Amino acid sequence: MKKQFDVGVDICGVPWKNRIAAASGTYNFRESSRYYDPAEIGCITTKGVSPEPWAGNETPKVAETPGGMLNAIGLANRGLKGYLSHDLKPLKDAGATVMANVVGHTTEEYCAVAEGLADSDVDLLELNISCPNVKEGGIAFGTDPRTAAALVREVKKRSGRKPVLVKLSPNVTSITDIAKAVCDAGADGLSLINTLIGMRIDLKTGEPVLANGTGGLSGPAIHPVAIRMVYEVRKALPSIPIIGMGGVMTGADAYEFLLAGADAVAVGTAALLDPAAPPRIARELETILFDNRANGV
Amino acid sequence: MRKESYAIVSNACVADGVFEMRIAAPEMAAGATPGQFVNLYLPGGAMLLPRPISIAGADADEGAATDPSAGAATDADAGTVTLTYAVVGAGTAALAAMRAGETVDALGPLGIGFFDYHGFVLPRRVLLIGGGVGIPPLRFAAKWLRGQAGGGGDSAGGAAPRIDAFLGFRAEPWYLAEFEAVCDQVHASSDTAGAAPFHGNVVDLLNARCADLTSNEPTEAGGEPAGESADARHSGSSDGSAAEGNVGSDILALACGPRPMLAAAAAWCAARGIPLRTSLEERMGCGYGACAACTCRMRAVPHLPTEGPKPQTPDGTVRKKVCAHGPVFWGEEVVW
Ligand SMILES: Cc1cc2nc3c(=O)[nH]c(=O)nc-3n(C[C@H](O)[C@H](O)[C@H](O)COP(=O)(O)OP(=O)(O)OC[C@H]3O[C@@H](n4cnc5c(N)ncnc54)[C@H](O)[C@@H]3O)c2cc1C
Ligand SMILES: Cc1cc2nc3c(=O)[nH]c(=O)nc-3n(C[C@H](O)[C@H](O)[C@H](O)COP(=O)(O)O)c2cc1C
Ligand code: FES
Repeated sequence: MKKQFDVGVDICGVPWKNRIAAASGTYNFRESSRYYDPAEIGCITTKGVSPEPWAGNETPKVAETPGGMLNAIGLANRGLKGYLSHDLKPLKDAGATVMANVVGHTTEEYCAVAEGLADSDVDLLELNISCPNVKEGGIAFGTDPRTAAALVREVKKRSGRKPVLVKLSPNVTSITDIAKAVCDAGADGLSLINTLIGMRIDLKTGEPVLANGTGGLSGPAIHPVAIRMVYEVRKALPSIPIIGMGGVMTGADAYEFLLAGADAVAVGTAALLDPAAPPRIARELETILFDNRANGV
Repeated sequence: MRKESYAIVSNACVADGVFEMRIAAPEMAAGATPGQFVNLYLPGGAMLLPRPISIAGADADEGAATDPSAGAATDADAGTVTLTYAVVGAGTAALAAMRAGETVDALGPLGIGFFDYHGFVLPRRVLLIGGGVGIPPLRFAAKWLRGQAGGGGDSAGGAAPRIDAFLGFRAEPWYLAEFEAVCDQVHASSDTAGAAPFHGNVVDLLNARCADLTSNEPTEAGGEPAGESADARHSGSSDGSAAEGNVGSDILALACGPRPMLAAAAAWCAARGIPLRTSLEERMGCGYGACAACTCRMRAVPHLPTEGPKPQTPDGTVRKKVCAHGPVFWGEEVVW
């Protein structure tokens, strides 16, 4: 028998209005709030934030693939100080639930951001140990269970009472090994998946399309991979909160994540293709959950 | 504003490999300013990313009627947005295959246009510098300027500027009649010998026609303006208010086209102190400012009203989003 789901959900003690979040890197307050009220969805995950500003990569930073896209944005961001005033404050003023995506080149940098956010209004931290687009840090922390666990332990010492979720990379042999290691080290929840490393080559020049060479694959093309990974991690870790993501375009895609074992679902690429996609998907999911309840499935 | 399906009114080939699509979009047409663009989305689910296309015409119901010289506004034009595009890949080929009566998903108008800056007033003279499919958006600019001059409502008012167009083509020129309807002078060049009156690129053309132009001395070096109407329009603006309000220059240049042409046009304008508004292109992920895929390096230009973040790096540059802080920037801002 299929499980019943409430519309709202509690993630690590933080109540979400519904089970849909904006995925990191695909929401910008100034621009996105023209299209929907951030308090309409369960949570807004903000773009990766580092202690100091990062410039990001050179263009082209995106390329299209069948049913997907590659990106190599390179975590361009205005740094912790700018983040608090320009990103977090307006979102909290608008009544949104906010999860900060935390990045760094070193353990110290991750810790500096966690410490800077510990006393802020942010609701949740999402430790990004899975960005494929920066040379040091990012994914380097997310591919070895021991390195990942050590980072989580250090960050947990500095993050105060903020729940720390860890965002996992699919670019590993066994995602459950990493998941178990970070949960043993004190992670309060998991986000999965980040993008899959890919590449496209320009047929005319013979050179990679992206200036960075490789980029992260997202969109509908990765949905089945993400479903499989959530399913496996859920089997290995029955009670840890999981936010599933990868290729969600509709309420039905999101519902599939819930069936795979996710507690909530984040929407990334879909929001790039339609700025109002996250609230639309939340409404579609709500309809599916109501219908299930009415039909007693 | 939101992503919506729009009925295609027409979608026709206007030159070799160049198509003009008109969509029924009254609200978009009423809100659009020259230099803004529209994201077009392709059906089928395989090609996900938006195709950004500049607005080449926006005929609101009333706007076109205010000035008869703005060209014919027929019923078919009312409430339509025109998008002119070159077929260069799978996405634009799919657009070209669409038929009148079908619908296309679009989001717009997006971005900062040619005249969307603080302190804009109608200049006395406008130079349009266009190449290839960068040409159609300039026609919208010319038409809009004509509509603003002396108009009521929320128009900028003032005398109509003299408009000179310098258009560069690879082969046979196209769209010239559309420009002649709204410009005082139209100069065309072509890379193909014999295809246009002038053989060469558009900067060669500028040098040949008005090499000694400077920002505050509108000369007639380009030859006599077509007809008497141009002189009549200028007579009202000799008080210098345009120069003061409009970033200190009587002349404003607008450019749209391939990047090397834009860089050359920017150098040409900078050498003469003529402020240039230039439309840039960059690969886009979202086209509305959410993903940071489209950032370009810009330098500080404290004397000009710019959009977006101020430079903080030691080299005085900053990355700005082409889709949200542009696509139109000051020529002096761009790190070419
Ligand atoms: C602000 C802006 C305004 C534009 N206005 C016009 C216009 O009025 N008329 C016109 O013909 N073209 C215009 N372009 C370029 C146009 O968007 C591309 O030619 C088009 O997207 C190519 O799509 P495709 O699938 O045919 O080509 P492909 O090369 O197969 O496209 C693959 C991907 O690359 C992107 N891409 C390819 N070329 C460009 C380019 N030059 N700039 C940005 N992205 C590109 C596509 O959007 C797509 O995501 C504009 C671009 C920008 C950024
Ligand atoms: C343009 C872009 C930028 C992204 N930036 C980040 C980021 O800063 N931090 C992060 O953890 N994930 C980032 N991601 C990954 C997404 O949050 C998400 O995990 C992934 O794209 C899969 O979901 P989707 O298929 O719905 O996009 C980014 C994705 C895209 C497309
Ligand atoms: S294309 Fe996404 S920010 Fe410009």
